[in-house]
Amino acid sequence: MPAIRIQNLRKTFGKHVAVGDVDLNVAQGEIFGILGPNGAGKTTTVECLTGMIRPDRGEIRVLGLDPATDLSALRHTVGYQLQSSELPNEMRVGEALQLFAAFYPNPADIDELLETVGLRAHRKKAFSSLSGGQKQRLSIALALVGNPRIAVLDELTTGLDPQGRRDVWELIENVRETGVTIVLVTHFLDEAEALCDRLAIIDHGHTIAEGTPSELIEASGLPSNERRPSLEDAYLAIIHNNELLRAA
Amino acid sequence: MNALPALIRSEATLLSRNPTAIFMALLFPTALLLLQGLVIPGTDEVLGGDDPAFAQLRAIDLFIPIALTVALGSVTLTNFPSAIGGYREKGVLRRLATTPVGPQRVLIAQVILSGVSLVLGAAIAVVAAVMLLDAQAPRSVFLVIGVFALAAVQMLCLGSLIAARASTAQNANGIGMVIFFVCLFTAGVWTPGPLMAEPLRQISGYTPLGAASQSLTAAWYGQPMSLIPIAVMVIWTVPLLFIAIRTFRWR
Repeated sequence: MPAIRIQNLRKTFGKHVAVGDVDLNVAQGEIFGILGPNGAGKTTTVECLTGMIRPDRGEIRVLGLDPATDLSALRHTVGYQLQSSELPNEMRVGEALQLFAAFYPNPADIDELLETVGLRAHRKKAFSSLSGGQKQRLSIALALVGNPRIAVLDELTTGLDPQGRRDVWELIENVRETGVTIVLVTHFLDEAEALCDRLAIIDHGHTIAEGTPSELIEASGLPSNERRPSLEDAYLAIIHNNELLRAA
Repeated sequence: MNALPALIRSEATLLSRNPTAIFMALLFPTALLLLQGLVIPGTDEVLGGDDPAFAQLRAIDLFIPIALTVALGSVTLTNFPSAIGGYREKGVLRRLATTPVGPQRVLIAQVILSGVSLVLGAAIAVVAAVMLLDAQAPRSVFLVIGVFALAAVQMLCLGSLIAARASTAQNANGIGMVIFFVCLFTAGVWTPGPLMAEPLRQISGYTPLGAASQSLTAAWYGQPMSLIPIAVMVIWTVPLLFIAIRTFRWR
C-alpha cells in the first residue's frame, strides 16, 4: 500500500484555481519533496491530503484512508507541521508537548522527543523567548508527538540560518530512520536534493514532473558536458519548459 | 486520551501567568462594587419611593446583583472571546486543527475555565460587599447560585458565538465591547432596580443580560420570581451554542 496516492486533485477558491490537476504517489518510508514556485498549489495540496480543506474533485488515499470520510483516523495517522503557526507566548516548550501528547492515544516519549529535536535544555523556556530555529524545531516536535506514520512538513527551514537548516535536515533523517514517511514542502532546491528520495514539481496547480532527483535531472533534458546539472538547474529548466508549453 | 483536562490545565497555567486577565476575571466585580460603594456619594442612603419591593434598600444594595451582571458580561463577552480570537489570529487554532482534538473541546475548555473564574470572582465580590459595605446578603443563596449559573452558561454561549467567528483578538474585543455595552444598558447598570422606566424594563427582560439582571435581583431580595426571564435565558442558550459549534472557524 502506498503512503499517499492523489489522483486528479482539484481545488478552487471562488474563481481562483489553487489546484487544477495534481497527481502524487508517495511510497512508505520515503522522504518525498513537493517543489514549485510560490502560489503553485503546494500548500493547498497538502492541506487537502491532511484533511484541513475539502477538495472539489479528485481521489486522495493516505495509508488507505480517505480524508473526507476517515478524518478522525487520519488525524491520528498524519502529523502536520504548518507553514506558519504559533503558540501562546507564555506557553513553555515542555507544556506544549505535554498538551499535544494528551490528544493522542499513544504519544511519543516527551523526553526522547525533546532530545531528538535538541530542545531538552529549553524545556522550561516560554514560546515567545525561543529563537526562530527553536520554534521551528518545537513545531516539528509537535507534528511528531502523536507518533504519526506520516509527517507533512511545510516550509521546514524558512527563516533558519545555515547551521539551523543543517540541524533540521539531520533531524529529518533521524525521524525517517524510525520508519516515518515524510512529505516536505519546500522551495529550497538544495534542501530537496540533500533530503528527498523522490519529489514532485507542481506549477500552476498541476504536477509537471515526478521522480527521483536524478530522474528529474534527466527529464529536464539539460546537457551534462563539463558540469553535471544540479537539481536546481533541472527544476528551473522544467518550470521554464512548462511556461513555454502554457504559452503555446 | 485526556484532551479536555489537559486543555483546561494548560489554559489555567497560562491564565496564572497573565495578571491582567486574573484581575479582570477575579477582582473586577469587587473593584467595581467597592468604587461605587465608597466613592460615589449617596449610594448608602435608603431609596424610599413607592415600590415596596425596593423602598427599604439603598442604591448600593441594588448594585450587587448588577456588579455580578457586569462581571458576567465582561468575562463572557470580552475576555473569553478575545482569548480564542487571539488563538485564531496567531494560528494556534489551525495548529490544534491538525490534531484529533476538535472544536468542541477547545471551546468547552475555555467555557469551563471562564465559568469557574466567574463564580470565584462573583463569590469574592459578594463577600467583599457584605463585609466592607454592609450590603444585604442574598435571601436565598441557592436560588442566587442557580440563577447566576444559568446566566453564566447563557452568556458563555453568547461569547462562544463571538469566539467561534472573530478573526483576531481585537476583532473579538470590538464585537464583544459593543454587545457588552448594549447588555450593560439593558441590565440596568445606569438605571438600577426601579430607576429603569417600566416599558424599557419589560423589553430589557427579553435580552440576555437584562433577563439575568432581573432574575438575579429578584432572587437576591426574595422578590417573587418571574419565570419569563428564566425562560428567556434558556431560550437564548441553546441556539447560540449550537450555532457556535457549527460555525466554528479554525482560521
